[in-house]
Amino acid sequence: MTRRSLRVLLAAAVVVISGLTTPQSAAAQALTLTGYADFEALFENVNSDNSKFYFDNHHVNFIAVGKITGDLFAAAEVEYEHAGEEVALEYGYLGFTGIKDVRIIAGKFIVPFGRFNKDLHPTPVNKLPGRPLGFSEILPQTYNDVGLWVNGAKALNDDNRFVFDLFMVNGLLGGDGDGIRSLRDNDREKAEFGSDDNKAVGGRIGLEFPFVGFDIGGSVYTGKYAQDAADNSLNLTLVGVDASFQKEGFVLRGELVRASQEATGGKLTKTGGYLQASYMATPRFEPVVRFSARDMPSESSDASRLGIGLNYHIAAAGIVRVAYLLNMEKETFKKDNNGIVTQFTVFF
Amino acid sequence: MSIIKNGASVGGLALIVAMALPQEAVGQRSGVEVWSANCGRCHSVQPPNRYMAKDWESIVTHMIITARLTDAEGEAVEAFLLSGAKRTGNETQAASAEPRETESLGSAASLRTDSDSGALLYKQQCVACHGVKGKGDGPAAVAFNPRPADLNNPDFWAGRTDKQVLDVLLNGKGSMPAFATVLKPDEIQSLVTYLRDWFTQNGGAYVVRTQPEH
Repeated sequence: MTRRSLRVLLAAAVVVISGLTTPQSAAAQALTLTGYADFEALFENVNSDNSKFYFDNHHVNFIAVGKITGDLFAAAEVEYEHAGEEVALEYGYLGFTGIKDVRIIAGKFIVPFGRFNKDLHPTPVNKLPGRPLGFSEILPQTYNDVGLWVNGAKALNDDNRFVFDLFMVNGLLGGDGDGIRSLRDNDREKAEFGSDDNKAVGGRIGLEFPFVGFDIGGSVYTGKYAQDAADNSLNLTLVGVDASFQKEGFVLRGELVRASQEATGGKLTKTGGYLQASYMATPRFEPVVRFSARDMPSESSDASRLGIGLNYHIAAAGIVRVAYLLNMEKETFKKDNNGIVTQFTVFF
Repeated sequence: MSIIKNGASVGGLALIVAMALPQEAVGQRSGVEVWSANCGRCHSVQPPNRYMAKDWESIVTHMIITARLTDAEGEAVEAFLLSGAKRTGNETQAASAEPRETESLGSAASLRTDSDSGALLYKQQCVACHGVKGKGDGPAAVAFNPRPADLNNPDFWAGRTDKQVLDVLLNGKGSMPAFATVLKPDEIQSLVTYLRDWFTQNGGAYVVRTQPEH
């Protein structure tokens, strides 16, 4: 498909969407403001001379969602991180919901790769404070990007469904062999890396059995992220699998992601994943355990982490979490970097 | 441009496969069941009276995208949440001024009908919050403060007539959503019959007689 034909296709899609949407009065527009916030007390490097204790107001995120008119929908999340030190648009998109079981989204969105990046990272949802290892350096959570996203679900029967997400985005972009996390924020072509006409594509497909409590999915992302000295494209491909099982307050969840990153010095392969179990032992108390690990090209970056936490549900919208994070590096690179995190999170 | 070409091909193929799957016939699962089974998969389920109706409409649309629900599932959840949505002062006054007419639904005697359909309705509409045994410990119970009523508690039934139970089912009370827009009048009658028969015994002993068969 040529660039010209792609533009024609996109223009036609906009016209079709405009035609399918029935204009309504301005009074029909409804905007709802929600969001979440959290406070953390962190005790890092607990066993070392470099221990430090500090408070963090990690998130105050405002989410606005609303039906504009007919089948048009808009959503945006503005995040204030670390007591306002970082302000960013987490996502901001327009959605069209006029096709049965299919939604077309355009704008900036959280890339639907796996579950943790897309659905499970907000602090009221993330059962253990912090990210699993691998979900920062390999899948650069939170990875949001600008582009088009088609999402939908088809019922297999009364209870179960097939779900899909397909996206085309500007894509991760940076220098030859750069760390994946630094490749984000290619919102309008990073000036220092020049033009990047090649868009990244990918998606996730999954099967969901909510009344059994089981779901499974597979994700892929592929795109050029850099070019070498001879002007050849260097590609980055991410593949992932995720699954979860829930039964009467017990939740077992796991996710694996693998990156294949072309570089002048040779392909860089990075793998990470986590397995997490939680149980609502009482209506208020929920113990959690999570093991995560990453396998990086450099042995000094390999690590695993065991997190043990206890959540107290003050109400449906407010949770206090206490967690001990035991970090484990390879013997040669061992560090005293275990931590204790107390977190209070609410969504409103 | 090969990535675009490949992506467009893969995307088009996936869409064609998705559209070719059999059309669903959702109808056996109620909105409260879909709400309980799906919304709690990622976060604590939120009670219907957490937000007003206009807010739920936007939030549900957002969550249909995020949680990848089918349109039918989304509509069922929205209908349930709207039935118990928080009301403004004016809306509450209007609802109080025009309560739904319970007498037109029949006398207590005529309510003793069709307990089997009542059992099915209990499973579809009530178990998510009140639990299989009616103890107020369903999977969505944690969303409510105060918790859903324990239907095995003799005190719950001691001060309530069938008409009062019917009225709560129709119009809602506290966190309990109104089912007048979710169920038909004869279904609500069946539910009242079932609740009374299942959770009470003649002579004033309030115990569960049997397990639901549906």
